[in-house]
Amino acid sequence: MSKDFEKSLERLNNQYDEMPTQSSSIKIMANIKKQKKRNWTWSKSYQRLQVAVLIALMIGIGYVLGVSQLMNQPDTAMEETASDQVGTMEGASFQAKQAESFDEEAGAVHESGEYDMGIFAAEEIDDSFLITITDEEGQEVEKQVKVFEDEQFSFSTYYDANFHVEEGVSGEGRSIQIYADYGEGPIEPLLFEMFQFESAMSYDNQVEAYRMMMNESGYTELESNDYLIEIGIPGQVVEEFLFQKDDVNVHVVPVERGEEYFFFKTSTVTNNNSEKIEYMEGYVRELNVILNQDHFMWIYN
Amino acid sequence: MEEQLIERAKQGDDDAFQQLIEQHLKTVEKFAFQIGVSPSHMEDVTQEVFLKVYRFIHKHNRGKFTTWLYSITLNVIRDFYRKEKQMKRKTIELQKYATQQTYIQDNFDEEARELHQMIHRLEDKYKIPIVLHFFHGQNYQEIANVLGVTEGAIKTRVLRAKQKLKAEYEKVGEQL
Repeated sequence: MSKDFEKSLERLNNQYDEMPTQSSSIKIMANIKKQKKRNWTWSKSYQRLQVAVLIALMIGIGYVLGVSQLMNQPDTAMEETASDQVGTMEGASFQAKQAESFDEEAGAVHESGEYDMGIFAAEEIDDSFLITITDEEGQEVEKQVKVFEDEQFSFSTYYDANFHVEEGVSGEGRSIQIYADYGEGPIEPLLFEMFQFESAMSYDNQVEAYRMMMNESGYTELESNDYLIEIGIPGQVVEEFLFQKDDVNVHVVPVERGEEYFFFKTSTVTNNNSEKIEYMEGYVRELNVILNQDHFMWIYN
Repeated sequence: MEEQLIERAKQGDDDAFQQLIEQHLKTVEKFAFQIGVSPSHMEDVTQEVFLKVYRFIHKHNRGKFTTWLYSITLNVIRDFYRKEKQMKRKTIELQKYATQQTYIQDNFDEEARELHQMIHRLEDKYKIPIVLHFFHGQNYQEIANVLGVTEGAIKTRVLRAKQKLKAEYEKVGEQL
């Protein structure tokens, strides 16, 4: 074996470079096109739908207004000459006729189906898609999700299509929060939060400021059980913290991303919280969807 | 040239995107193999990497394209093996191990094989920086961007990785 370590590395590199390529760019591109058709044109089709709806709406309104304008002209002339003779009765009948013709036109447009807002509206809402996840029992189940992308924090991820994403901006910083919703509106405590301090501070100062925020909100710090670390965080985790208040545990990990730090947060409840304890199993599954490394992606460098 | 291809790909030009794949496929495969992707998984991994690049290329507007590509490759590999772990079956694992051994046997001489295995045995936090530094010509800042850590941390890791590798290399060299 050569004693020159550097030279050996160079020789190894040459052999890496000589390895035959196994994948084919043509095959990769063909599969991408196939996938593109099937899956993920949601955002583009959403935009197209928005344009289509707008055009349909404008044509519809223009058509209806045009027709009513045409009908309006002879009636108005008639009304002007007749009004002196028969008073307000003619005006009333004109208004009724105008309303009738408007309804007829609207009905015709609706019947033709081309401008049916109902169809567009239904498709417009549907920007979610199905993924397969493994549940707590190891069974593969399908889940309807949406993509959330945030340019400021430079990440994207999936989340349950029925859940709510909220942006919070305060004097301290900015947060993206996801709340679960099982059909009766957003549920507290929050499922997931990403927080970043507004001002540039050292890591230690950020942790201290975060602790202070939690203390001011009435939370007590406890020894962490590495709950989030065990679930798996898509990034460089520094350490984990645990805070508690009114039977709610808040698990926090600062995640290092280049020169920046993001505080990932989730909640669990203690066994005393009988009202919310049933949601907790679901929270783990939902958190896995959000933090899954295939779903959670840092977009920029 | 590459900038133009990226711009065209962002506009939805599939030919430009395919040219980008051709330019970077070798790099992605080399990196994936060095990080530990089995040759039998290579096509699945590269497919997933370029699928992600295609989906998010319109968002790529700062930093080097290759840096971004390494980040995506790493994320795909991590996720791929997380899924693999879930579906782990011993017999399949053994078959894959055999495939990998045959592949290494076929493509590397004895010394290169030893060194490759030594790198492969390093922890990820040392392996990834050393692979990117020595075999992909990435500087410390670029590696820091890929891994989302500080440049200082990368300097330390590369240095320690090199020390570890050199020590083992010399130990094995004495035995041979």
